[in-house]
Amino acid sequence: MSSQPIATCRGLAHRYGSTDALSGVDLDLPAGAVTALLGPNGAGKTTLIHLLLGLLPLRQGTIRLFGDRAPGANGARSRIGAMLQISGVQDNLTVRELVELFASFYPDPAEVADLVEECGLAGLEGRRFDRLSGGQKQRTLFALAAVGRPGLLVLDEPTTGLDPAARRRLWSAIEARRARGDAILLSTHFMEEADRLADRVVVLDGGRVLARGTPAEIRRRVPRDTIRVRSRLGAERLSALPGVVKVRDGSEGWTLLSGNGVATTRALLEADPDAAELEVRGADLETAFLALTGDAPTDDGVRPGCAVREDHPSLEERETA
Amino acid sequence: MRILTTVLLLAAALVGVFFLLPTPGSEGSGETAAEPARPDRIIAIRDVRLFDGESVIDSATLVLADGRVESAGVGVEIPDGAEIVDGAGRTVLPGLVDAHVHAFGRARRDAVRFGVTTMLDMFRPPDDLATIRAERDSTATIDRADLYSAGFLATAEGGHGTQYGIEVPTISTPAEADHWVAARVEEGSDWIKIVIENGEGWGGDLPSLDDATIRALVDAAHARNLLAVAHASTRAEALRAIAAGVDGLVHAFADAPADEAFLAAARDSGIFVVPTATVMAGAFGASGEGWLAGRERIAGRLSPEQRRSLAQAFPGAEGRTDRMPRLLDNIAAMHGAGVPLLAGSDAPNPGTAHGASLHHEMRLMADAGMAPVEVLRAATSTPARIFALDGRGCLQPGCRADVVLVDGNPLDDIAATADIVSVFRNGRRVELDPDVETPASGEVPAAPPRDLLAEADRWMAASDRYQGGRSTAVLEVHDDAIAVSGSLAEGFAYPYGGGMWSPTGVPMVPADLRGHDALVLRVTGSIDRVRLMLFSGEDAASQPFWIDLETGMQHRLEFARLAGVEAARIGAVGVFASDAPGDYDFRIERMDLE
Amino acid sequence: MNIAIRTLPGAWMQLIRAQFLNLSRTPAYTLPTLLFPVMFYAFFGLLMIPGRAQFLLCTFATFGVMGAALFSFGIAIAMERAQGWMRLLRAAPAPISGVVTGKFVAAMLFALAIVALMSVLAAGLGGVRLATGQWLALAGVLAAGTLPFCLLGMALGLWLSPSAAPAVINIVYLPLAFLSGLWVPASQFPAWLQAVAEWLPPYHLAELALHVTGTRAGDWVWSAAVLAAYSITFAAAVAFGWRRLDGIRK
Repeated sequence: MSSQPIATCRGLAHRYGSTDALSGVDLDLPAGAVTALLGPNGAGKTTLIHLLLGLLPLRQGTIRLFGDRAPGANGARSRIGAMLQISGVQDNLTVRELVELFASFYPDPAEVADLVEECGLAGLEGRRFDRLSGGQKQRTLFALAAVGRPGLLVLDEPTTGLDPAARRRLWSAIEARRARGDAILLSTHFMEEADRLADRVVVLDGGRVLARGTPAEIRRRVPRDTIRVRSRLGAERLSALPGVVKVRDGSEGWTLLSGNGVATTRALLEADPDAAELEVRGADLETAFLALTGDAPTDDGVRPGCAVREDHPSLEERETA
Repeated sequence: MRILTTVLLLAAALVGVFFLLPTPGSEGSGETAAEPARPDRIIAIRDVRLFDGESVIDSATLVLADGRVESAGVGVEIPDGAEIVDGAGRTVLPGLVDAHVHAFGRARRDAVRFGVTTMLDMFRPPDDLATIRAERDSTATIDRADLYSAGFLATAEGGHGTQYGIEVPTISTPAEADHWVAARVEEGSDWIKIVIENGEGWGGDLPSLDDATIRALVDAAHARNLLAVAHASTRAEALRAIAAGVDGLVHAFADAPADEAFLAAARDSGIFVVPTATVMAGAFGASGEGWLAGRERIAGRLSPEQRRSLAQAFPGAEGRTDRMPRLLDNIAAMHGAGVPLLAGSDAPNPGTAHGASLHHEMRLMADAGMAPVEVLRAATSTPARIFALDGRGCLQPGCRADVVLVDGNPLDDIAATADIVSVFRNGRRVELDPDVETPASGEVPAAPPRDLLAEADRWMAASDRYQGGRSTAVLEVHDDAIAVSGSLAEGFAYPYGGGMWSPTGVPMVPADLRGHDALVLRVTGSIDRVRLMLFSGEDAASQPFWIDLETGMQHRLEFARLAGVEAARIGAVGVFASDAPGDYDFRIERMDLE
Repeated sequence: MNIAIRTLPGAWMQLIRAQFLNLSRTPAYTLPTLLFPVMFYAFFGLLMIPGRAQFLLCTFATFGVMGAALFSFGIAIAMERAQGWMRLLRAAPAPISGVVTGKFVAAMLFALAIVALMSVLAAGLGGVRLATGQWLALAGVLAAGTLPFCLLGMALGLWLSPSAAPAVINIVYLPLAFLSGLWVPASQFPAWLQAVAEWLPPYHLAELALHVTGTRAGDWVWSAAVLAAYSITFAAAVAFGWRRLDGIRK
């Protein structure tokens, strides 16, 4: 991006007691682009978002919004829309009442009718929040974030708990905002969501940035599939199969991490027609982190946050090394 | 914005409610709205120290209108046309409540002149309770204190309460209790009074109710939401009363100390006590007569009846003087234990007078160690609360306009309650001097001496028999004397028998004898003393003046020097034997009016 | 806290409206808050203790408005804080003063309604008669006098979890009301307890109510000063509690 970023964060760090929630995080949010914060629960995504919104005091590092504003400053808050992980609003207000309430906070709010249409809430204006479905609630919260025509939209895990159809409807609403030139920060733990929406992805875990780049760049370094198989082929031959990132031997057979499960499987079956108990499944984010940090998954999977240690070098560091 | 309008409208509507709420001037409380002659009923007492039944405002204004307190406090507006009363240096109190009286005759009129505007009667025949109730509910002009009454008391046959010549429905078994109480409710009793008195405290022996009957009476009263109070004069009887569940005791006891066991029982049961210290002081040889005589505005305003009852003494009082300190100690102990105490005089028993004696009672409560404000509560808000006397004992707007204005500050010195400036009853000023009707105005011409022995048709024999006693008397008129004989018998509190002269020929129908200065009397006979009784005043029969005179010598009694004898209304003069039971005979050899 | 001055009036109005709509849609909360103290007054002030209708009107109305303030602030804020609604408002450029004002206006309306209902009962059944100015002064004093209790409720709401809030606020509310002589006049307390009562804020609000209705003159300057001092103290607790929100992860 050639223009100046809407938000610039440098060296952010935050501690809760003795726990490092964030350490040494840099982040730029350019206009007209969706930046995805990808990471498991506890990775530090929400802390970063709260710092950006001024909900937490900034103790270390710098954040500049819209050029020279600090988080929480008047000129910043009125230009930011936020969708947070919350369990309730004033639940007995209707969609229209909530949108009108939030519109009143901003100097130049959107037309309620247009916004309602854009967010897929047409026909629901008179319904009370507590009588909406999960997807409708999330879209309403999105509308509350978007109603002030903010230059920066901050969405903290907006699609968590939604079914695929509801998720797609919210995605299209987000895309519409991007098309208008807003800078959008979106936190998620769905690779698929980052892949679909983001122009740039920042992978966060344990409070550190593990990787950053376009979705394609990230994808290249992240295995998409996990393949389990009993095969007579040795580790060396398996590693040479197309797309394979990692190979691990186990009591139940081999486990392969692959950037392209289909190509790997096809080549595997050609090389060893007797391969048995073949099982291919999409790699989850945890697996991706393991790949990024150079660790192989165990048989029973790895719990989020456990795989990454402070002393593991990040992908960026390895790249530069 | 619509919502703003709604909020504002709602707020305006709520505020509007306050504009519609009734004000003291607006009628809506029952009395007829169109009473044009209002102004003469508005009284404003200004710059006055105000005790409202609970606490004190140093400089307040009190407005009385239409028989109620219209407003009270600081910065109260005085309505146009109000009569302004200067309250500077004065204190205004709620009309006092005397929590123990027996209201006969002109008691209610005498009481109100001394600031007692509500009386709690602890025994009187219930004949007129309906009228009395109607007066209580009204705020019409009236010159009497309001009365609440127990009606008949519950006592055993021949027990305390039966000696006064009033036919009392007695009770003897628990089974009768419910019926007995129902009958009192029917008659209009406001609560039930139960006598627990075996006479021991007074050196006697009287039949008394058993515990089961007392308890049954209490239960029957409670079942009808009535209070049950008890006359008990010893510690043992007080404990029996508490054990039976009574709500209050209408006397303190002084036969024994109010020890920790009693105080614990009193506190735990939540009873109240009307100590009636002033009547007990009289029974212990320390009656309030002397103290009241020193209170200028009391002594000068006593009616003959009041002077008479005040001057009487209980037999044997001088032998009980040692009990007085203990009485005060017991009052102090009960107060210290948090037992609610109510001021009550037990007037018109000997040594007391309606109205006046409540001030002595308050004085004694203060002597026992109660703070003046506590004493004032004991005579106002405390009885009002316990006996649910609506609108009494208080001076908040809406309370009854029963008000006492006194000089000085009774919160510093309780004796100031006796320095009465004005009494307002239902918002009207009460005449403080006794309205003794004078049959003829102006000078009464001196009447010629009169030999009463010559008026044979105006003499009759008289004994306690007509009050329920068993003594006898036979009277013979001789040329030179009147001879009386008979016998005195147990059966009445103070047996008597003798002869009685009536100035009109009809006993107790009075005549004006102010033309005479004195009565001269000589009696001889088998007894050492005779008792001379002078019945006078409006309610002559109830409170005679009496004096014991030696036989065998001549006595001259000047009317002017006889406390409570109202020469303008002499109902009868009696000469009686009243000593020990047994036969008697005496001759009245001379009885002249000079 | 920074406030977008330009948008302030509209935002304030919307926040007051939201508060109002919220209350009008939760009758299960609103009606008991209104009627509980009124019923209490009817039972104790009028039926059980006759003859003291005016005195008890002042003290029970104090009891009522104090409850409305404590509950509408305390419990609501504890809940809204836990739900994240507070956080969303803080992230948005919502004028926090408007959020508080909305609740304060609601508490004042509650106060007015409670005083109005009780006054109607007192006048109708208790025979209480006051000059119109005194009726208005009673309503005014009690409505304005909700301030320290709003602040106390808010401070508690900022510290308490929504599940603990109702219990804790009741533990504060009922003893405070009793010890301040709102049910039984403090003059009937033992001396040491009276001394305690004279330092409690509801005692002084009741004193003001008693004073303006001419029921009992008190030292109104002193009572107002005590209430102001409590207001400042509670406001400081609110400010401290608010700052603390920043340090909380959720």
